[in-house]
Amino acid sequence: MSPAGIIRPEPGGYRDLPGGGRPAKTAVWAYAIAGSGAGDLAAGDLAAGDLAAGLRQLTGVGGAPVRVTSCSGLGMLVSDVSAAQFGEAALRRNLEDLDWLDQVARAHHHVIDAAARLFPLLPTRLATVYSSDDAVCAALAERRAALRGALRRVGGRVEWGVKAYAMPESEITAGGPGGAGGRGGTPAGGVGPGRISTAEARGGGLAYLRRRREQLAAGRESRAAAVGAARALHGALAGQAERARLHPPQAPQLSGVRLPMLLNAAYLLPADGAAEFAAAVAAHASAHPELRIELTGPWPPYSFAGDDDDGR
Amino acid sequence: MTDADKYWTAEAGTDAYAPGERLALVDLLDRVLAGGVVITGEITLSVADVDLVVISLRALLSSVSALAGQAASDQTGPGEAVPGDAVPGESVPGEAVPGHVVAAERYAEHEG
Repeated sequence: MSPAGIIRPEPGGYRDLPGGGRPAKTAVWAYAIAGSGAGDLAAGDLAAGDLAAGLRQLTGVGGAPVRVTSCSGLGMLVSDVSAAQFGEAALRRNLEDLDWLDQVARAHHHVIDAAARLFPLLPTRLATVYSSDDAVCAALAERRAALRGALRRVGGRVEWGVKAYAMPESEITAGGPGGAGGRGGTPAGGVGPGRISTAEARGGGLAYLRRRREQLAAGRESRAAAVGAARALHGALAGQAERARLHPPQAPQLSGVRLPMLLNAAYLLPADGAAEFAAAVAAHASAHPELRIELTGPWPPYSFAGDDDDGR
Repeated sequence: MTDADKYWTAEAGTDAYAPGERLALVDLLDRVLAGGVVITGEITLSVADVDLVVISLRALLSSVSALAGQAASDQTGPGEAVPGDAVPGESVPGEAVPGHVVAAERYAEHEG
């Protein structure tokens, strides 16, 4: 599950690894911001001792152990990364490499996800890299008030993702899979002015046109129904959530799903609100066969961490 | 079991959720590239730079998946989407317009 070579579950970090030792030139990779509590935890009081142990077992992007840098009443979860791989020019180049991005995104997420189960936090955007701990502190100090506000707003909550696609007509009416042959009316189906049969060309032209017009109208109707259902779904779920955010629809090249995506949303909920929310989503799914609805989560509150986020 | 195994993703309304399913990279990228708090670091890429990266990545992916899609269309199974079916247009993370409206309108343009 973990990308080999990136996430190493063994405790002890790179000091115990063969060839370990502090890399010559390092930069500091940021994962998340927590209240001063997280820093105190790392310093170690009672219950916090366990949490600190949990943190110490985490290895981050590039395999180095995760630690907390505390200042200005805030703590930043960071790990050291090699400047050769994560310096500005190298980072820019490496981000273009899908395999590299995949591994780094998963390692980044792994740390945030594990830490979010220990204490409230604000995830930082991927590829936030500093030259040193001093630079981390300067960044925290500059944004202290806004960060504390954001931490209060989203810390300890989880995010649920809901995606809705327009179901192909063939699957709504036929009630399930099996229609691999394509749906009526698509150009790929071979129905088109160029393909009118000889009979239609003679006397059935009008009939063909009428049939085609009906097909198009039915298609438009079911599209409108799906779009309406997606809007209603979002409205209902947003009403149930503390905050909601719409992401742009995913490109089918990235998602692998060729159905038109009508909704790509994130909802912020209390950590214990999962069952109720999932039930609401499931109810919408059975009430709206014209939509294919997918639920993902729980996620750390990525979509709500930015202070530019103005909620719903 | 890693923490990521605790995630699940499923088609809502089906009885069996699928714990342990690998997180879809596209869902993860939605969040780690377009979400998360942005605090300017000393050598961090600017947000605009990251968006540029994502755009060029998408271009790369579409050329890759065009090849993969051709191979896949030869063995389309039951319940799969129809190759060549209408798709919503490309969009860029961070776009100001609400996603679902954009998707719906582009879908309408495509089909209508």
